Amino acid sequence: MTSKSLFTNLLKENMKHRIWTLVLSCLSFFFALPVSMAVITQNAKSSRYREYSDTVARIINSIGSESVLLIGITIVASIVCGIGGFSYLHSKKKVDFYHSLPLKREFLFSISYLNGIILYVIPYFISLSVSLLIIKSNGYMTKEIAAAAFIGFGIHTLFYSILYTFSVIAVLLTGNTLISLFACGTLFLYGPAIYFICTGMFENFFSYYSTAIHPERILHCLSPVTFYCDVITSNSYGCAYPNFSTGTFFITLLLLILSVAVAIFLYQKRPSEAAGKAIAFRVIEAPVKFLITIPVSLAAGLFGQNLITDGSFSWYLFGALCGFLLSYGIMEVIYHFDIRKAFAHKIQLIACGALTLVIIVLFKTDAFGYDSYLPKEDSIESMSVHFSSIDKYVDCYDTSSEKLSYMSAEEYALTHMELTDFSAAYEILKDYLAFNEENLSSSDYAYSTKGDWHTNLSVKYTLKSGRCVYRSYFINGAKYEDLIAQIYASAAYKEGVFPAFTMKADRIMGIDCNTVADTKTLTLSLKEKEELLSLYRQDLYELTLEDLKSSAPSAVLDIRLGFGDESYYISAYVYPSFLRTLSFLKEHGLDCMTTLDPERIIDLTIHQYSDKYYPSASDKYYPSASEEIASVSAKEKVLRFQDKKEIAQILPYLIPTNFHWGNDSLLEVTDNIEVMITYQTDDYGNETTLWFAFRKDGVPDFIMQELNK
Amino acid sequence: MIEAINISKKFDSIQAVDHISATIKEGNVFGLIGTNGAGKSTFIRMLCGILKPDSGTITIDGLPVFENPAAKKLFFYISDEQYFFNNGTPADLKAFYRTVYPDFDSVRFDDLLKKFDLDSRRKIHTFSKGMKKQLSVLCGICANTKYLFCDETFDGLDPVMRQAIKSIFASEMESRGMTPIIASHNLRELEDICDHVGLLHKGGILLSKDLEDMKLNISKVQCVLKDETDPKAIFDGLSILSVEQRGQLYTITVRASNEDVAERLRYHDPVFFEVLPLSLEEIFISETEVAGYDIKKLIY
Repeated sequence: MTSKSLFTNLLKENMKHRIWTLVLSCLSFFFALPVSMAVITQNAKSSRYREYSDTVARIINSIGSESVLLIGITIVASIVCGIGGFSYLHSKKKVDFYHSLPLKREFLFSISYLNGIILYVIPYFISLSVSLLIIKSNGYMTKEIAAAAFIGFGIHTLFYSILYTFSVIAVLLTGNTLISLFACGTLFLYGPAIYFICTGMFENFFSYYSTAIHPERILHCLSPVTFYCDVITSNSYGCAYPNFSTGTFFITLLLLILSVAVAIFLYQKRPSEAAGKAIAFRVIEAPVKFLITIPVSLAAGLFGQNLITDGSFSWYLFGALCGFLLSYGIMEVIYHFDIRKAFAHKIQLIACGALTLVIIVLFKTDAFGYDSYLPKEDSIESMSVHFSSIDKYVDCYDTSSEKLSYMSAEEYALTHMELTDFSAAYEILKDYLAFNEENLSSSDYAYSTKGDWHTNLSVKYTLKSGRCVYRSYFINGAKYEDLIAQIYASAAYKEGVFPAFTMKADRIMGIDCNTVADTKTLTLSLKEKEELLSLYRQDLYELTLEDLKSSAPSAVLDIRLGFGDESYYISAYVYPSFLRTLSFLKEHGLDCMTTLDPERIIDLTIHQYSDKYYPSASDKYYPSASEEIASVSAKEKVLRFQDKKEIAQILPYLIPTNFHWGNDSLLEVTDNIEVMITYQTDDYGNETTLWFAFRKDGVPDFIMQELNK
Repeated sequence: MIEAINISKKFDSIQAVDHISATIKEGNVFGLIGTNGAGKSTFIRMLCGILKPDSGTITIDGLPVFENPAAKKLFFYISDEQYFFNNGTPADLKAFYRTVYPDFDSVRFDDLLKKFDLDSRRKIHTFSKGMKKQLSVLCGICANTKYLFCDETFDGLDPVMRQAIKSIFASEMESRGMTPIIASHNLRELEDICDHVGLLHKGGILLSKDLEDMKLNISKVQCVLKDETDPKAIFDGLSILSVEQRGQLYTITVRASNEDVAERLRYHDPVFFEVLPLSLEEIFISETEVAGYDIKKLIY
């Protein structure tokens, strides 16, 4: 018998013994694909309201690389096939049987391995083909669907092979099926677990740890599951052509080749007598124990400390000690299947404990100077900064990849900004760190005075070496206002913070202009959009911190932008100093410069609330819901104005609350005085209620006199 | 010929096989005796290439055995706990072995199944222990390999079946020169089949000798002597291993050939004497006592 026919025959024989796995695989794919497609297409046909394109997007999402069902089947199948195909190595009887046969180990390995791939690929392919026939017969077939189906098939199969190989490696490293499952879970999730523990430790021990961007996220790549999910979920809904670059493909392929090579190597080296033992290779027992016990102890410490509000370090130590003893003991019990051996290896126990303690001490004492870190000024290429209390309204999206994704303003600024003239920013940080070091405090909040405003300052140092370092501080904005104003005035800062500078006019699908009392849609040509964008940018460049402190926006432009089949909104505040923009808007029929027309104000009511209680927004609309409000209301002072002249006098002092929140740290308003205006919006008797506040210390004297009566 | 030179195997802190050297010649039945934990299974598993020795070499017909299909094709291994496919039948087993062993005789297999009254379509997990053993042996015989390793194979077989298997072995040995290597802790089981015997104890080989050689050197005689004849005087100069007396009937085991013993007795004109065949057990007792071991502790 030739080698080839022997291989084929043994492949068939091996498959006969895995018939259950084959049945499960076929059933899973059957329900995930043909049945699912039949349901989607039939529902779409019987629904009058579902759009064709929606159905196509839904089909693509269910049949392509982003299908949750297919992802789930892939992960589960990889574990079932990996453990099922190689679990014979855990049985002495089976090992004796197979290893006494006149077959090389690589031959045996390749038979089991290949069948594991076939058990996934064949049922998937057949089900996929049937699904496409169902889609076509229902009239929904498009080339995008076909592309999504086959590209998804390729991607899922590739990642299945990797996950499957990792499962096989888990089996080869262990000698018991239950331990194999644990090993599989560890191989799949160790990377992300370490990532979370790292971020937890950094957040817990370092005051200036930045949560905006996580360079440690690279640890996700240590796990095949998170790598798979990261690649898959980078695609947008209904996207037929996923964001799977050639580079990523080759990295994935390389990972597969390496993992198969490791698996073959382990299979060759695995001693037959390992059957039934917890770990097949004695030499890895200690390293595995350390690699599990240490992170578990650190995580347990975090858990222990977080059990108590403002938990102290003692609680951390308590948690870490419990975690250490439990995890170490359990590992030893697993190795020896004997509870009496829980602390058998005293030297290893001490070494592991010592290493854990060293790590904790390094974090606790900040031995590497994380919090005190300030690079030398001449080593910095550029800086990026973000003030959490300034321009809070800014919405950001990441449009750099094929998939649109929301991005925090902080992340956007740190990613897009490059302050090459960073002297002001550096000055702030230098002073801040020096002050805190001297006063042994993580922030100077305790040293602030009334009226100061505070802000989170996120910083990215881009060093000349290419390294990027992130930190986050909580500073007294008032103390550093001059320096902040300098930063704010710089073009580089503005370009890094406001998406308006990266926006493209041809992507603008619509603009709504919101004033205090009205919303109008702008209808502009492409050229006009470009003009508006240009004028707005010029105005934005000239916007100063002082402007933010002195006035609220006159209008807000809600700009709808297109991105593939999706769209998203960006808000752009228009301040009274934006003369160019306001002029453009006026030319296009939108006068945002004038305030409310007093003639249209039906009623202006000023509420002054007791200092002890300030009702929430919901309370205002449901005043009868709370007895407390009723009792507090008795302490309210209410002034009502209907005289147009009086109203006209008050109007200039009013700050619209819906436009104010974006910079409420800078432009402070009264917190216990509210102004409600009933405004007639048109000539048909339609009214609306508008809310305002006064600037702090900006309440007109005549109003104060009335309120103090 | 199978040659094991100075092989050792340790599992954690347990020395399972300790520097064993053994030669198994073709055409002989090699019996491997030892108590539980002596190292018999470990030794055989190393011979089969399942376990890799920590030291030493094992060759089969000059070919190293570990990870060498060319060497592994020369033998069939019957484990003490043989594995059968889940839900498998003898027919499935035949199909599998036919694939792996090129000389597997399917026709003879079917024929033997019928003779042993084993249904080829019946699920093996419904077979009794003895039936499973029979099936394993039939697979081994029909594989037509040169060597057949049997680890405690005769355990679980009824005496009739045991004889049947032994006669098949004998037939195979005669017809094609099959060489069985049989490990057991039961001396009586190997009594009438082994040509060469190796005794294992605590991982080491105590002795390895041809049975005939062992028998040639020891004789057991029952005799009734005339009054005042001292049996020890009769065998003066020879090593008397044991003397039992019941009335006037003496049973004497002495290290000498049958002819020597008979000649000496004739000289003293006994009332009656008869040279009795020695059991393997008796031979072993005598041999191991020479080595300073109490055989009862070793094999009971």
